[in-house]
Order: sequence, then structure tokens, then C-alpha cells
Amino acid sequence: MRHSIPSQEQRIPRVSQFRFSFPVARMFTISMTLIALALFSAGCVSQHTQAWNHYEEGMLLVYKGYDAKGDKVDKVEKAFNKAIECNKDLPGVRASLGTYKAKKGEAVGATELWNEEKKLHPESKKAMDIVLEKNKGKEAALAPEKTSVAEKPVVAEIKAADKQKEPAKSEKKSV
Amino acid sequence: MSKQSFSKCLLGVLAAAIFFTGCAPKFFLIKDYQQHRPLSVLVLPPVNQTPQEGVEDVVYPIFVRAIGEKGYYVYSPEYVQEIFHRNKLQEAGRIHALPYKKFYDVFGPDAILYITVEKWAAKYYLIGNQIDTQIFAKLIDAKTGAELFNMRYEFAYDPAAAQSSIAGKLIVAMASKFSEKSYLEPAARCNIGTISKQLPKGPSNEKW
Repeated sequence: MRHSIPSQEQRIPRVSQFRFSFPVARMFTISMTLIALALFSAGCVSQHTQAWNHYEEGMLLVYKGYDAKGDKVDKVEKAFNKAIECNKDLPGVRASLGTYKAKKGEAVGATELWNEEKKLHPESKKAMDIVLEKNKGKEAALAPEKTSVAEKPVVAEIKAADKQKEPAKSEKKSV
Repeated sequence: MSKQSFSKCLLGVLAAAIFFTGCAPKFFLIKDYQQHRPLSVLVLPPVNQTPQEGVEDVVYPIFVRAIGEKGYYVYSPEYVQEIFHRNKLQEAGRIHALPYKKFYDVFGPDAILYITVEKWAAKYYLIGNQIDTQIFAKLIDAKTGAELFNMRYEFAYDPAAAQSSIAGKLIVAMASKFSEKSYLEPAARCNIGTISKQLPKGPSNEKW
């Protein structure tokens, strides 16, 4: 049996069906495409923004007093590492991660990170050298408690000015 | 709707957008900023003048991010604060009172940013509430002490603003009364975002 040939009416699609019968319908499609576009573009956050998001997340965790005892993966380290992954030039991340590691007791990793920061960002040389120079040969820079003696030179440096300013502050309070 | 009326509608929306962006808050910026433009900015721990606890801990990282995203090199806040702690400088007030030259000698930044949280109060209404925030930021040249930029911005943050229905507003308002702390971050982000918007872009804007 042969297929019956469709009639003229069936073959030609009715154009009027696909036309917008109301202006409202047109408005609706326009707004829907706009919404879809907005959703789409919101999904693609740039690599730089993502890096900053991770860095900020890590910093906020540190300042909230995050404790990694209960977790398998250290959330702070994870966030900082992700930030470095997203943007290798992100300023300050390595110094932050180094400080965090040093406080945990991983002095060797910390020193490495600070050296990296110094190399990548020459602006930070002076700041990084506070710890790196003073602790040359000693791996335990900024480690919990033990090395506070090793950093005495810096203590004296800032403190001298601090003492001068202290009376001024108490005056302010009384006013 | 005809094509003409639609385009008129679009024009109206554009005009409204321009109008709202036109209402920029006041701020001070040194006239020849491009000549003084710093490469690196040392953000000092913020001073909290309000009874709300924990504001400074939220404001500090968010501000560091905002400045960094502008294209300036920002020193790691944890590192900087740790150095201060090692020098027995725990309170931000005492750090701010130090002479600016001291910061240059120790950290070597081009500019120093002082932040003060001046107001942070939650107001409760029958339906809804708002958090009044006021932050003052001051950027000075680390070598000369000249003021490059300062801005005081007051912003009332409404946690329920994103909810369109009254029921949604009520629920959010009720929830925010119990968990005031969870609104610290969005409120701080809104305020700091406005301040950092006024600051011109840094040298590494494209890189970061």
C-alpha cells in the first residue's frame, strides 16, 4: 500500500499559528529570554571573581575562629588553595595560607609560601622579610608560642612608638 | 503593545537607571590621584565603635577583597594582624593611633587604609526590620601622610528587601530578629561595595 499523499492544506504549515496573536505574548517571550540570559550569565562567574570568592571565604572562616578538628579536610586550606588554583597572581593568598599553616605548626610549608609570595609580589618583600629574615635558619617562624622570643627585635621596634602614644589614648577616653 | 511604546518603556527604564546611579554618595578624592596612585595598600584592622560584636572580623576580610579586586596589592590580613599580635598590639584602636611612618618602616606599603565602623544597629518594626550601618574609610599616603581618599557611608540594610511577598517579608523579618549575626556579611558587603566603588582602579586591575 502506498502512503496517501498529504493534501495541500496539511503540507503547508499554518503560519498564523506561530505568530504572536497578542502583543502580550511577544512581551512575555522577550522577558523570558532576558531572564534566561541573566541566569546564564550569572552562572559564568569569571575566574578572577571566583578566586576572590574563595580567598574571602577562607579569610572569613579564619576570623570566625574556624576549628578543623571535626573535619576531614581543612576548609580554610581548601579555600585558599582553590583561590590560588583560580588565579596564581592573587595578592596575599600565600601569605594568608602561610600564616594559617604556621599557626597550625607546619613551619616548613609556611616559609615556602612566604618565599613564594615575596617572589611573585615584590611589593610584599619588606613585609615578608619581617619573619623570613629574622628567622633565617630557624624553620619555626610564627609558630605557636615558641618563637615569640625570636621575634623580639620587631617587638621592640613597634612597641617604642606604642608607648609614646598610650597616654594620648587615655586622654581621648577621658574626654 | 506597539514597537514605539515598547521602546518608550525601555527608555524610561534606562532613564531611571541613570537617575539612580547619579545619586552617588559624597566622598573625598585627592585631585591628582593618578600621580599619587599607590601600588600596595596596607589595610589596618578596623576599629569597631559599636556594641555589636564581631563586626570588625567580617568587615576586615570583605574590605581587603574589595581593595584587592580594584587592582591594588593588599597585604594578607592574617599575616599583618599576626605581626601586630606578636608585638602585643591586640586592639585596633592602639594600632590606628600609631604614627603612619611606623607602618611604612615595618611593612613598606604605598598607602594605608584606616577603617572605622561607626554605626551598626538593628531596628525592629512590626513588619520587617533594618540594620543601620555606617563605615568610615580613609586612605593615606604612607610616605607623606597626605590624605588620598576618604568616605563615610551610611546604609540601611533590609534583610527582607529581596522578598516580594508580604509573607516572605514577615518570615525573613522574624528570622533576622533571632539570628542577627547571619546578616553581618550581606550588610557589610553592601556598605563596603559602595565605598570601594568610588575608589579609582588600581594599577593591576586587569590582572586580578
